[in-house]
Amino acid sequence: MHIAKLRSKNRKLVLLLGLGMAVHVSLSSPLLCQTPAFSVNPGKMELEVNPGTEKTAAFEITAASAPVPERGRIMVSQTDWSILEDGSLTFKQPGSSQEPSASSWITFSPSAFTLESAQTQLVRITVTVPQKTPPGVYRTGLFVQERPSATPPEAGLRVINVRVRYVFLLYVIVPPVSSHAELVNLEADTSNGPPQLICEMKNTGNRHARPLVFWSIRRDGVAETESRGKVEATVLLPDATMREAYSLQQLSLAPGRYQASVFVDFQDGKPQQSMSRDFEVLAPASPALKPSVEELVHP
Amino acid sequence: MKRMSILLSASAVLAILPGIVLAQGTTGTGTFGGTVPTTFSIANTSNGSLAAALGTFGTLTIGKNVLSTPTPLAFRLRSNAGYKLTAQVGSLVGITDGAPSGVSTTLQAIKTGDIGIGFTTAVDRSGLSVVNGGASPTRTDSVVTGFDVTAGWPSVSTGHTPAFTKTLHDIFAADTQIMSGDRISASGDNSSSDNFLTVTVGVATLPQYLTPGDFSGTVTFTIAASGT
Repeated sequence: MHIAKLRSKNRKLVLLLGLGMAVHVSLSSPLLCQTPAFSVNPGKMELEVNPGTEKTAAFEITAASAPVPERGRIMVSQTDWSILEDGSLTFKQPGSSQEPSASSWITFSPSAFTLESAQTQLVRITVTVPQKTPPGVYRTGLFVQERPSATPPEAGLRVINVRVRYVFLLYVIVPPVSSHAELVNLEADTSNGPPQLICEMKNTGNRHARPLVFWSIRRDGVAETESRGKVEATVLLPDATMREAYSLQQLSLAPGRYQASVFVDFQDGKPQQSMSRDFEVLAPASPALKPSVEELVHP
Repeated sequence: MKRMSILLSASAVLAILPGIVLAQGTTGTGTFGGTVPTTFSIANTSNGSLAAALGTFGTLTIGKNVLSTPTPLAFRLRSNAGYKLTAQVGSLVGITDGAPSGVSTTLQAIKTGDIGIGFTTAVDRSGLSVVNGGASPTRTDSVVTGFDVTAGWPSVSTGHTPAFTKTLHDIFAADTQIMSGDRISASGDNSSSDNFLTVTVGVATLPQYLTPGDFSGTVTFTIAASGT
């Protein structure tokens, strides 16, 4: 009788421990529904590859750690990309544009995987440059994003959803390449809203340039410089012209005449190029005077 | 019972062991190194992954020149480098891409051109760990012309889709840059409450006598380095 009682007690204890273990495991296991915040490192890469050869590189996708573990499915997909004349970035379907694309030369793995909090996933890319490829810079990119929900939209719902993706940009450089970048023009635009400097730069070479723009503003008749700054311009692609605008909104320039000067370092080992322009900031138009009540009554 | 106590004792020893091992005194020299990666983050206002509704229109009850403007979506941008933000709409169901529905004698269904999109609130740069941000921010985050609707959506007077400065038609099937700026975060991580820009994007449409039906679409935001 006594032994039977003890056995029953033991059974209860084991059951209790088992239950405790199960609760612990369920609480510490990752949530299935929430993808962790993640980052792509590096965001861009330049690979020099000779025609007829291949090279392998990799980038990392790192999930942020979180107090409550998270887990989600990540997809990697290919894209072409380009920079428009105003410096804005645009993406296109691989092979859909006439621009030099390396999309057909790359293979990457994995294209889908599960990412958990604090985990890092390596994505390997192999670039195979075909024989007799002309020298130049060829571009491709990889989008990294959470897998879209497979659930169809609820009936009766009129909704616009939002999703986020990150991009890894790859430059495949087939040597020999060199950039021939120049500062073509400088404009100070005060016609539409806050003043802005517009730098026109041109690259006739077959390698991209990464211009650093140093600017200064000086008021007419005043010896010292009013303000100065530095901007990392958007990449100047081969055989491209770019007219990028830099806002001077933060300066709150008083009405008057000014001189804008820019020095551009194309980071190509050549001397900096400079240009200056005069411009005028006009006084804001005073609001049209409304006739007073008295005037309305007694015109 | 005895077995149980042995089991518990063994568990206790196993639990303590790593501490004992790590606490052993060691001498020697070490080096340290690492990389601070260029990192961009788009998160919701709880610092979680952003996968939500940009706008839920619900029932579009037809009125008189009254736009339907669902609650805009606010989200957080963090970066340790200059950034470019692009947008693209796709995955359309029950809605096609096309110019706004105008005056016509043929029946019309809702199209991407009937839904306006833009930043409905000025970018919040007030974070104390935002580069050139804070109480009196001097940083400039450039919103592409047409996407700034902080002054309000256009007024409607004809009962037809008003002249939205940008619609989903403008970002259909092709990424379009909508905003750019310098480095955002001076320090902090993805849980910090002071190192991000808060960006608010909304959509609007005019309920009209268009062909009845449900619709949905997805706007994808892509963030990339500004210099690329």
